Amino acid sequence: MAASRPLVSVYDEKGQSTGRSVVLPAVFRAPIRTDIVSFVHDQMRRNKRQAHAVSSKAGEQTSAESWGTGRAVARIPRVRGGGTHRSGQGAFGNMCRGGRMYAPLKVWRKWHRKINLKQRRYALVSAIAASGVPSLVLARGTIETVPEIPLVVSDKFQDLKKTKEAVAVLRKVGAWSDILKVYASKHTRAGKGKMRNRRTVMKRGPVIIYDKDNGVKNAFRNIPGVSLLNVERLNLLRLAPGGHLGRFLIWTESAFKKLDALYGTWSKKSQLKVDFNLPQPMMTNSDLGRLLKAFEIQSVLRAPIKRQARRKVKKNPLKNIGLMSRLNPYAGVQKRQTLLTQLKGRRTGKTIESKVAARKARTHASVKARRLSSVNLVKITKKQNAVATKKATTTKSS
Amino acid sequence: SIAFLVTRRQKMPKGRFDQASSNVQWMVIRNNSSFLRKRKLGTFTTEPNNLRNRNTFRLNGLIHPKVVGVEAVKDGKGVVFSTGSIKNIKKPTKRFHKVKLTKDPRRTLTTIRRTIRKQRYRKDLKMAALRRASALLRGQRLALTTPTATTTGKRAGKAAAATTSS
Repeated sequence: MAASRPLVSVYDEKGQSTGRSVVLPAVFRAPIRTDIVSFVHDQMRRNKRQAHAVSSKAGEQTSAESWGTGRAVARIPRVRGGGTHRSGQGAFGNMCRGGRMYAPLKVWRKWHRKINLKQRRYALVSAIAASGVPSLVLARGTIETVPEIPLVVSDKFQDLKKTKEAVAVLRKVGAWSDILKVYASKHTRAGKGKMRNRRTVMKRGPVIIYDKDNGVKNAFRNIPGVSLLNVERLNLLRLAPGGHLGRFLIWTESAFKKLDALYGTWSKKSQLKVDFNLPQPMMTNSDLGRLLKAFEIQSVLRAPIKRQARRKVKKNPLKNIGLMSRLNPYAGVQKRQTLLTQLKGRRTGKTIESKVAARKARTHASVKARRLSSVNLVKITKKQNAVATKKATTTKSS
Repeated sequence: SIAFLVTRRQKMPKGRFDQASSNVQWMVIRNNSSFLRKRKLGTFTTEPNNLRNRNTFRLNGLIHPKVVGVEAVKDGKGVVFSTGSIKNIKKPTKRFHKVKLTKDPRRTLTTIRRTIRKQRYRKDLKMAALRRASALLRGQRLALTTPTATTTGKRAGKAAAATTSS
């Protein structure tokens, strides 16, 4: 699937599709680089800062001197003189009450950042591309009442003069739910900004991007959340607020058509920017699914290992009967016999009389006879044999 | 992802491709989305067509052209089964083909199962879709049978989920 440049239909102020359509500008196929956008946004945000500093005299307007050692007090400089509370109090240090702060703020801090032109343009181009991907726009938080993404509206938008008309148009075009979201998000700022004329905060709504301002600005500027941008002067801080891609953009037809001239297509350089062409992507094909199934890759892979031979746990045959039987098939039989004899012993009643009777019955002769008669008895080890014969001999002798 | 052998030799066509494949979109969205809910219990998403509300590539409801969604019918019985049309990815209002399945559960589940299987439409989501439908239908059933269904605990939660989810 080569980089298709499909047709985008143009919608009128009633939200209906006019017959016209525009070819998708190549910018929308540019690589989407969140890292570059994040970095450039971060740098750009610093550029609106105003210098602030602490007075250089703060905390230094005393002639305090340390009392030195031997006075049972800490060695910080102390205020001279007498007759007032202040005398003898610590001065100058950041830890002292009324002292200067640690590293007093200076006006000559580097407030603004210079960003390379190429990076700035790359970020912008990524932001525009991301705004054309429906999932990114929806993930950022637009609601799905929009007829098409990217949304292109007829140039009549640019001629709107009244906010009332602007609102009606936004409703028809499916963007009003975004603005309701903005209304719902109005709240008091957390922090000191409250008392510094920055009391309320709210979310960002759609951006209207126009080519020629015949009243658009005035019509839309009072609607909360709406940002207005001229195509030729797009602002990353508005296209990717918070450094996050996917703000909902509404393009007018002529603005949309200008994008190819502004940013170029890969085969043609930009006409309106000096020495700029769209950035090359790192991967020509980023569709991992298709790549993995492609013949070029599949033909070079070895067959998949479906069953991996894993570490075998060694089991103890003395505890594991199954394993024991595999090693010594007779073990099963032995075990069975011992169990049966044990059970036999258990089944007969263990009264004292029966025990006595049993012991009486166990004469040497009977035991020996039993030992010699049966063939399938337990194999007696040499030790056992020696002990048995010893027993026999000792008893014989006694 | 499991690589499988292709019998036909599909060679990759040459040229520049659309940069915003689902994988690229995933890299943008995975940690950064209005639907993301990161809690101690786990990471979840509330996007509309995620069958398990889990934040994973496969289950994501926004990224893929082919998408399966199952939601409860608002204030009523049954389930809305939505599939994403590949043609209309750029048109959010037309994208989903939604079917209301209001007959008995067996028929609902069969419809879902057959649609996914016969169309070979995201077979990997079949079980997830069935389970979700099953759970939603069960919630609706419980909401009806228990007389004091609106009182406490799990049942109330299920009933609330059944009626308010979608």
